[in-house]
Amino acid sequence: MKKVTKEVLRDTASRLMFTMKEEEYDTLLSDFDLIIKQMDLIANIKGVDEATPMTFPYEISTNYLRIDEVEAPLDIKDALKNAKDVKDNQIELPKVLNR
Amino acid sequence: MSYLDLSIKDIHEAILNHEVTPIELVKEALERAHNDKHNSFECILDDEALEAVNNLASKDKNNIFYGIPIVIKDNYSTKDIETTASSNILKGYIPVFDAEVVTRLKEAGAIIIGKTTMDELAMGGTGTTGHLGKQTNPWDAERMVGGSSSGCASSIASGVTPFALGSDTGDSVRKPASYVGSIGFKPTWGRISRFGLFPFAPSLDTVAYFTRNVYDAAISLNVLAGRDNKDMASSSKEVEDYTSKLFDTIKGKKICVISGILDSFSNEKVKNLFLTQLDKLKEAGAEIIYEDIDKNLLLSILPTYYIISSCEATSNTASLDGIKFGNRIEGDAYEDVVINTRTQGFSERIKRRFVIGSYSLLKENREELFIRAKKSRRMIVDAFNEALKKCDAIYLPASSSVAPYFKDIDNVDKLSDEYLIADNFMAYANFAGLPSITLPLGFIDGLPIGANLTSKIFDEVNLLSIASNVERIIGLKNLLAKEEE
Amino acid sequence: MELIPIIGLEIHIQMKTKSKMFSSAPNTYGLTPNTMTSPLDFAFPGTMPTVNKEAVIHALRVAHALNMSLEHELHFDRKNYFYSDLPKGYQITQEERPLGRDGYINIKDKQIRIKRLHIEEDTCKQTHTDEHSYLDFNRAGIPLLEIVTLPDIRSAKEAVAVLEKIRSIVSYLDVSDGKMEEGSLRCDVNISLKDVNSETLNNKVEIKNLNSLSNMEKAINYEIKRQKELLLHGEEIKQETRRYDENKKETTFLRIKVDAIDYKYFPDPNIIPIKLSADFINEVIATSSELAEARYNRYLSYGLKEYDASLLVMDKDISDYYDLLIKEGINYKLAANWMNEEVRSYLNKQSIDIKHFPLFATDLADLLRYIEKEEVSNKQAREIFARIIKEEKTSKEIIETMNVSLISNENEIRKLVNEILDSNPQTIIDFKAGKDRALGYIVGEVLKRSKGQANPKVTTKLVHEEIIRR
Repeated sequence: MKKVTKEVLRDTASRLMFTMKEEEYDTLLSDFDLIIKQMDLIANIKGVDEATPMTFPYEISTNYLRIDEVEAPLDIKDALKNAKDVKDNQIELPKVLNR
Repeated sequence: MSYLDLSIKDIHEAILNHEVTPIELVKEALERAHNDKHNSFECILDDEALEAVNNLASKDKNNIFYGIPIVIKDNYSTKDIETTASSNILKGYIPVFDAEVVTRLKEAGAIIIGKTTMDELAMGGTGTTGHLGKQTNPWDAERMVGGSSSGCASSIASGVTPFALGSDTGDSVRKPASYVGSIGFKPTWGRISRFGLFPFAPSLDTVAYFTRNVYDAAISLNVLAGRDNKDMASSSKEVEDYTSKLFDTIKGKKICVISGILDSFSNEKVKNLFLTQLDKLKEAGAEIIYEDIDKNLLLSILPTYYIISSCEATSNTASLDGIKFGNRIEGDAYEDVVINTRTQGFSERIKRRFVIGSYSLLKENREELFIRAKKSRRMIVDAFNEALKKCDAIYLPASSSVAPYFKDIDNVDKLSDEYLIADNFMAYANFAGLPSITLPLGFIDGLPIGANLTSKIFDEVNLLSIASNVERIIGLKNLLAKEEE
Repeated sequence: MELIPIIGLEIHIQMKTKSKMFSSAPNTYGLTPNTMTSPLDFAFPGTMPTVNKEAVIHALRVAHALNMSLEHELHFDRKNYFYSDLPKGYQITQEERPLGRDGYINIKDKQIRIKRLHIEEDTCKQTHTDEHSYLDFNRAGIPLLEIVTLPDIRSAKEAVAVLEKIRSIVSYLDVSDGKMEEGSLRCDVNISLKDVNSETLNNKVEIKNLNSLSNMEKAINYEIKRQKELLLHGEEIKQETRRYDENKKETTFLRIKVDAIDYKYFPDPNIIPIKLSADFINEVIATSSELAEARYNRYLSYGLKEYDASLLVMDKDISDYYDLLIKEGINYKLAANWMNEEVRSYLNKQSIDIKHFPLFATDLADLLRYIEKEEVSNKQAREIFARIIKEEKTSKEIIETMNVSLISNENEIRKLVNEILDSNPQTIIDFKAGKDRALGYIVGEVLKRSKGQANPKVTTKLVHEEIIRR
């Protein structure tokens, strides 16, 4: 596991597309500290690493597949009414840098 | 006394007997909402509610929800009504569709009178992190109601409506219910469609709700349960009549207490109250058994919950960028828009949580954090299911104390047994998808506290039957915190 | 240094379905932006994916045609990253358990291994101006198949053959049009060079945004040359992404290949595992359309030559049209000749594909029947063909106006035959000397003299009769 440093946290935050105040990184470091300590409790569970990771609460599966039929699409007004800038029926953004 | 203070069942009868009309109920509920002093509401829907009442003629009068005012937590998509999940990033977001449960409630004739406040994006347990500020406890405004379904809890406790739709991912309905003396019911994962519920951690999220008594909780499930093809994880299991065994006896039912959990409660008053009530159940014919679960597993519940939910949440909230919807903040380039929107729209607290979640998913960390938490989940689930094989329900206090004071929120040792177990154990029911209900246990120093019953998956009929008995034996229901005149 | 190219392909195919991969919004092309969407496409909070049955069926059929082992349980994962064309901030894909694994295709005399095939969803369409970018969500959520080969390919020609084969498969299975120019088939190339005498691998370069097979071929050839020169000069190949510049006819730098994007894959908790029963899978496979290879073999069994058969199966729609002619009872060889010559030449001249060909198979069959019945000659039929298209009439109508009737009267033809034989004594000598071609020559002359109206079959018979008498 990568050591938790402010740099690592800053990098993680930037990849999540937000910035945090400098003080917050200190708080975050102590949050992490606590988490790691709490995670150590998990490490204490005998046989935990041999267990199968669980994604769903119980054994569940389905054979349902949606029949390929079309439903009326969103009215364009509804589709775009929550977007701030719209031009020619498209959502307008300032230029995307990373093409 | 007002009809609005009664149970759903009794209000329904009163409507059918023409003792009260929906419009009277709705007007009163709206008035109470406007008079709410606990910051319970994101918005109050006067116009929409009155219009809905006027359209009631098209609904079936015999439906239990016909004409009943209700409130809905602000993380359910409601068509044409701003839905923010109490986060600034969603200010101004107006959904174009209703969540499935909202559709079912509307079709049943329920009248939505407001959307309630919550912990931001459902990620919290104190009712203090929403963008409109904290929710206060109607029993004592110096105290919290807990969260994340905080506005639901404060509004149901002050009697605004007899039903409040919330959501429960770790204990977000069942814990606040304990702090306000109401019923907090979380059915089996997948029993009710989650379509339209803003996702926090989908493998844990469950549609859950508050009522004033067990019967109301049971009858509400009849209306809400059932397969929805829009939610692939919703169960196709037949919907039962969840009231069918409410009046069956508790004699012979096996009630299990997990000793390791009870031992973690340090408050003697809570323990004694619990044990006293437990004796009453025994006297009524229930068989009380004690099972234990490895303490290491119990201590792992919170970190397991925290990691899994943070990881899922980080992914679910990646769509919140202001581009398609939400509170978009400007920038020179697209990348700046997204960064500015997310930086200003999320609280610092939530950002920290996302960083932890994202960090835990990185290749070099996931084995030790995310994957291990998922392994731990399985072991915890197996242990509780083992215990459940030996009983009908697990019974424990639902919180380590009555509602804490706001000033004491941070005075907690987060590595103590009490914090890790007593305060956070109920997440096991989310890990395993088990139906789980909090109901009043008693009062301590004038404040309510609840107990939690949890049974096997899809065993709601049995669970509610036992809960109904416990409610009758303890003798507490329809509790409302009324303002002193 | 003896350097050989190590090439792998990553192919994305848009699947033809009525609705999108995870929602019931229409899967349709072009049209006004943002009119073919569902709330899920905008990632409105609370929306949830539902898996399209037809897309799964398509994927199973393609995986089977690629000789892959098939998953019996569908699992979907989230690939998390931020980009303007990705509404949810993650793409739903199949990282851990792709629907198909470890398959292969045969090209010429070589086998190319296919590592994986999985289902995923397409992104928004973005357009850019200097100041702004624009998003159209019609494309968001369209079902995609991703197919990844192992780096078994050793040349541009092989790469083209692989892509053509895959295009043929998806086209014959009616899974996709597979047209690079239209974007329904996209291909990225990964290419590095390896010294045969060394164990070390050099960095590979990714080439993206290829819009045609021929550009892909050119791009690969250029890139091989470029990398060779660098390596021979002792320089290192930088791990990067390049594109092909059509005008400059070279690959150019696009961006550095950053290893560091961690997609934080995890199972999508909204899609529980979907069990595909053996019965379901078997039925899906059993009801697959016939692939090109199978049709080719069928055409060979009709007695068609290899070249003709392979021409027919190059395009599924042509093959379908041919099959319709056969269904009408037209002679195999006659129908094949006409498809591969007349029809194809018409389509090329008009720059259209068979889907836009103005004659229904029944119309063409009508005409061909006249040939079969020997009521018109091939030459006459070609005239009629041109006219029925141009004048939008039936063969019958045109034939009536043309006053065409094949001269089948033996006496008339015999007279002509003898006239020609009389004026071509050398040909008779050649024939007697064993040169069979002489016969064909006389037949040709008779047909010419009769302005194509003499019945070729009868003519041949009579020429043969007369020539041996001489």
